[in-house]
Order: sequence, then C-alpha cells, then structure tokens
Amino acid sequence: MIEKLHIQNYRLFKDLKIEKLSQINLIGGKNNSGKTALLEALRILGANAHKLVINDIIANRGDFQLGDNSCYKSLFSFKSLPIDEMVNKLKINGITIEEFGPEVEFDDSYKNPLSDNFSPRNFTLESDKLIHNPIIGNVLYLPTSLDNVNDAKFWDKISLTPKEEDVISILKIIDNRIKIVRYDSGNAKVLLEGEPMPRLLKNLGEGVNRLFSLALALVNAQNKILLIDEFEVGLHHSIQKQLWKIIFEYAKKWDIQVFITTHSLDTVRSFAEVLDEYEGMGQYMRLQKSRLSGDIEAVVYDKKSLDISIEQNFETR
Amino acid sequence: MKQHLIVEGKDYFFIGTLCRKHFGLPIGFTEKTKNQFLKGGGGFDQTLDTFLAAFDSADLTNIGLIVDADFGTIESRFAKIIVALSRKLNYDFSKYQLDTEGVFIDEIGLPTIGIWIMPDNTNSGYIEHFVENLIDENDDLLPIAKETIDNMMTQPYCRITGYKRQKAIIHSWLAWQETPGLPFGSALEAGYLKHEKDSLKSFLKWIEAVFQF
Repeated sequence: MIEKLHIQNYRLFKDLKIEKLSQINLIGGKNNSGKTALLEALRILGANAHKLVINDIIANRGDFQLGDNSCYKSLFSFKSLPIDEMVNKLKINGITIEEFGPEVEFDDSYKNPLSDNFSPRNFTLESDKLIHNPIIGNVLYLPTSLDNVNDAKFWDKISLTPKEEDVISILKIIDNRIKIVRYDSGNAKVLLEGEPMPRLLKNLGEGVNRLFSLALALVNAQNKILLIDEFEVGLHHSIQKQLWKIIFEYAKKWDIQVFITTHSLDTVRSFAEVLDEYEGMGQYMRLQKSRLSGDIEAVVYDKKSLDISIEQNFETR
Repeated sequence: MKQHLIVEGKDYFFIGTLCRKHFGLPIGFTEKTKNQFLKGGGGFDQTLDTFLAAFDSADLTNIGLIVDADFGTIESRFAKIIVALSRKLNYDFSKYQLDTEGVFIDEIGLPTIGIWIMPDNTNSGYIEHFVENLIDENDDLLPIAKETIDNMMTQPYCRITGYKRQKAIIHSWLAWQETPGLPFGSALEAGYLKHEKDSLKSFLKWIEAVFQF
C-alpha cells in the first residue's frame, strides 16, 4: 500500500504533500484542481515510471508524438515558469524523472509499492505501436470514458473463473435480471432472466455499461492499486451506497488500494455513510488552491469533520 | 467565497434576523438560502466541533463563533477555543486575548475569524442575557417577569435551578406578549424585541468586522 504521497513539479503540482493515505481514498475538488493529474502520478508511481505508462498518459492528453521527446515537457510544472526558473526534473515519492531522459532514480527510503517480481518482460512491444495495456505494473486505471476499451481484455482474464460470478452480482445492483454475460465478436452480450434471446450490453444503458467496466476493473485488481476517475459517471445516487459497500468488501478481501475521484455530493455522502461500517479503512480529501501560496494542496478530512460537514451542509467538494 | 456563523444553543436564528435588519443579507446568500449562514444547535463541545469542521470546507472566507460564557470562568472557555483552533489550523493563536468588543482574527492565508462569548465577552451568562438587551428599557412587563421568577424560586414548587433563572425570565416575558411564546427571531420581526439598541453597538460592530454584507 502507498502510505503517503509527495509530488514535486508534476503538471500543476508544484509541491503536493499528503501525509497519510488510506486503503480507500476518495478525492474531490473543482475542475482543474488536479484530480486526474493525481491519478496520473499514482500510475507513474505504481509502474516505476515505466515508459509505457508515461507514453499512455501523454497520449491520453493528446500530446504524444513518437520519436519527439519535447512532448514530455508537458509533464513538468516548469512550463508555467519563466525560462530561467525552469526545473527539469519531477519527483513522485521515491522516483525522480529528469526532463525525459532515460534517467529515472529510485530512493529506497520510500516503500516501493510494486511487488518484487514486476518486470518489463511482462509486456509485449509491437514495434513502434503504442500498446494500451490495462494493467501496467501494479496499477489498474479506469478513466472517465464510458466506452472502456479494456473491458474485453479484463473479461478474458476472468472468464470461466469464479470471478465471473462476482461481476454478474455487481451488475445485478442496477438490473437484477442479468444472468449471464458473454463476449461475441468483441461485443458484450447479456442474457436476462425471462428472456429467450441475449441482448447487447451496450443497449442496456449507460449505468450498466459503466458498472460493467467498474466491476471488471475491481475483480482484476487483486493485490493491486485501483484508480477510478469520476466514480459517479452514469450512476444514479440510489445505487452508490451498495457500490461503495462492494468496493470496500473487495478491497478488504483482495488487498486492493483504491483511489477514486468525484464531483458529486451524493458520492461524498454515500462514501461517508459506508465509512461508518468500515472504520479506518477510508478517507476523503479535497484538492484545492492554497490561499497562501496559490499552489495545489490537499485538505484531508478526518471522520468527525466529514460527518459534521455533511450534516451541516458545509461545502466538501 | 463562503461565510458561516456558528452559534451555540437552539434558538439562534434571531442573530441572522438581527444581522439582516442592520446589514442586509451576507454576501453569498439569497432570501432562499439565508438560513444556511447560521449553523449550530448544540452544546459548547458540539458547537466547537462544528466550528472546527467548517475550516475544512471549500472557499471559506469568513467565519464566526458565538458560544455562551455560562457560569464557569470565561477565560477557560476562551482558552479552550484558542487551543483547539491552534491545533486545527496548525497556527499559534495564543496571542489573542478576550476582548469586550469581541475577538477578531485576520491572518494572511486564513479566513477572517471572529469569536464572541455571550453575553458580552466579560460577564457570565448565556444568550438569554444578551436577549434582555433587546427589550425596551421602559418595558413594564420585564420587571414583573423578574419579580415573578424570583418569587417562584423561593417556593417549594419551584423547578428552576438558579443557573436557569434568566432563561425562565425571558421565556416568561415572551409568553406574555400579544402572540405568546414566539421564538426570538419571530419576536424580533414582530417588534417585541427591538433591534435598534445602543447596547447592541459592540456586537454589531463585531459582526460588521467579521463578515461581508
């Protein structure tokens, strides 16, 4: 588990310190407060700054140009500084990355979140093509997009295993008629209770599809770090509490550390409610601009403050 | 920007009414949301916890705390607040002392903070001592209320403890108005309690310093 986080000079983070992380971390904050950048930093950390992750992050922002190293400049905060103040390295916990050279240093005083047997040999590199590998290093990343390209790969990993049942039971939160899921020519199909013919999962609505991606990511995240960007996308508030319980249960059972971003007050509320039953297992924090320095800081809520803030309608997001 | 006033006790909405009559709505609030400005509704410890939790909220720019002095030492109550606030914000507030005009804290990087200890930052008492200030000095029913309660307190059937004397006086006085039993805010709106009083000068000055209207 990553115990704490210290990010320097990464994107909009000049110097961000989070002294203590929890097993389940919910992160709120305004638009452009750095929620997605925080997840990116965790991806880099969890993959020991593997080039595949870094390339994927840059590509997701639309910046990637194979063979052109200047696209990596966007990782560093310095682009907003005057030229003579530019700092050409960034740090995420024990990893220092120089202005994208192959130089990546590791500081052993930080506990490395990766298991010892992580090796770049686990990845196939097909000439110059960028491979979207759903699991790089120790981290599983589920972006906001409702059209998750990784679903089929994740399904393959658990198909015909007991984890298939876990996925179905999660889908049942939204539609309890769902009995069986199969992939057919790259499309997910479901068989509903009482219906003779299967239907395309795509046709069952945004919520079920998002829940499918979430469930697949969860069951594939055993002993890993799971990152979910925008928890509430496509999901009605009424099922959020059940979903939180599922996340807490699986995290406990399979030793998963989870980081989730949100915009939604419903999400914060349902999280706080479920936290009552899982004492000490989760925390809520908000990223915001520091009043003093103007730099991004994290405000971490303790349980008491979170409960009072919700009860009194103080702005938590 | 966000502003909040945290008040001890149950019947505190009249303070919002008082502020509105003198200064209008606080910035960030509308007629519909005006009751969101005030928070509280518990004993001293609960109110202090709410005050501290408010500092975690987004965009907090102005925050006030109103608690009762009660009948212990007012200094120790104030000290408790300062110690808790220093711990919460990781900042040393020990240089701030009790002030008859109310405490006003304006440090860089922090929201504007105000602390007022009812009734007047000096004497023992609670909000009902403050409310007495809102009763016209020529009011003929008030002396009768005082006499009645004092007399009652010598009788065997009395249930009021000495500490609650002022509460009994004020609520009795309210029970004897044209519309009996109005809460403080409504009594203010109805004109039973007056908002244009010299005795309110310090309090209003404190409100004006801490909040933006």
